[in-house]
Amino acid sequence: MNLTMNLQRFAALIDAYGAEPRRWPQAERAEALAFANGDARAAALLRDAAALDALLDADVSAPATATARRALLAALPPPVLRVSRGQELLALLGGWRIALPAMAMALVAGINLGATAGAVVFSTTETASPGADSASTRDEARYSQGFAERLLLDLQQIPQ
Amino acid sequence: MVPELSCPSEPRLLAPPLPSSRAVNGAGHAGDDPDLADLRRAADGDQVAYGRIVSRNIDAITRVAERMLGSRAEAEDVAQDVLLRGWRQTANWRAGEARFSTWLHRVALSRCTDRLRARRETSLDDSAEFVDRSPPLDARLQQQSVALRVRAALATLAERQRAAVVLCHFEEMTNIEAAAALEISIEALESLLARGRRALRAALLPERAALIGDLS
Repeated sequence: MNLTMNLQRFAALIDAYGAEPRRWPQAERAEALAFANGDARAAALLRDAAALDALLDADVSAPATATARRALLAALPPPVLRVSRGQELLALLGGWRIALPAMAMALVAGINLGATAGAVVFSTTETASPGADSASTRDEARYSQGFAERLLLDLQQIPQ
Repeated sequence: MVPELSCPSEPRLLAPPLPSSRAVNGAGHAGDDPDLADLRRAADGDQVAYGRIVSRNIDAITRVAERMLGSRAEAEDVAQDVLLRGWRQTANWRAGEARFSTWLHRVALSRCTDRLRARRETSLDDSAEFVDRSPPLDARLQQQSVALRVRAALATLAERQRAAVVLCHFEEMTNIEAAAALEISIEALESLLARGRRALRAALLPERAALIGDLS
C-alpha cells in the first residue's frame, strides 16, 4: 500500500503508537521518521507523546516466576494424540466390533441385490426364447434364490 | 465504531486471518512463527517441546493478564489456564496466517474479559483496588508509586482500549499481531489506541510533575 506521510497521518500515527519509532508500523516508519526530521510541527507532537510514554514505561511487570512455570509444566495432562480421518470414521461407526459385521452384512446384501437384479434380466431374456419353457421355469426358480442359496444349490449339484 | 464492551468470541482453533490493513509490517505471520516446529512435536505428545512453547510465551501472557486484571495472582491463573488450553489444542492446531502466540493472547484476553465481567457483577467499582495515592515510603517505592498510578489509569480505560494499549505499548506487538489478537482491523486498532492514549494522557499528564518527581 502506498501511503504518503503528511502532518495529519503523522499526528494519527503518534496519537496511536506514541513517540517511539520501534512501535510504529514498519511500513510507515521510514516515511514517518523522514517527516519528523523535516517538519518542525512534528517535534511538538513527539514531545507530548514522549511524556506519556515515559510515564507508561515506569510500569514494569515482573516475568513469570520459576514456580509458576514448574506448576504449569507439572499440570500438563497426558498428551492428546492426533487422530487420523480413518480412525475418526471408525470411532463414529462404533469401532471394529460393530463396523466389521456391519460392513460384512452390507456386502452380502449388496451382492444379493445385484444378483437378484441380474436374474430378473436373465429370466426375461430366457422367457422370450421359444421352446425353453421348462428350462426357463427352472432357472427362474433358481435365480429367484439369493446368492448364498444358489451357491448352496450349486455345491449340492457337484458330484461327490 | 468498535464496540467497547463486547466480549471477544471464543477463539477459533484455526490461526486467525490477517486483519485488513492500513499499513502492516511482515512480522507476525505464521511462516515465521517461532512456535511452529515445537507445535508439531507437541501435537505428537512431546511435552518437552510444549515446555519450550510455555517458556517463550508465559511471561507475555502473564504480563498482559496482569495489566488487564490488575492482579498478579489472577494473571498467573489466566496464564496457566491459557497455556493448558493451548496444550490440549496442539493436535487440532492448523497453521494459518498468524502465530500460535497470537491465538494464546486472544484466549488470554477472552479469559480476562470473563473475569472482569464477573468482577463487575460483584462490585460497582472494579478499579478501586488499583488506586493507591499514598506517598511513597522510600526511593525504591517511588517507581512503584508511578507504576501503580499508571495501573490505576489503565484500569479506567474501556476494556478494548486497555487491551490495545497493553498489546501495542507494553508488549510492543506489531499492529498486525495486535489487530489479529483483538480480531479487528488495523484502522479499528488505531482508533482504540488513540482513544486509549488520549484518556491516559488526560489522567496522567496533569500529575506529571509530581509523578516525574517520584521518578527523579
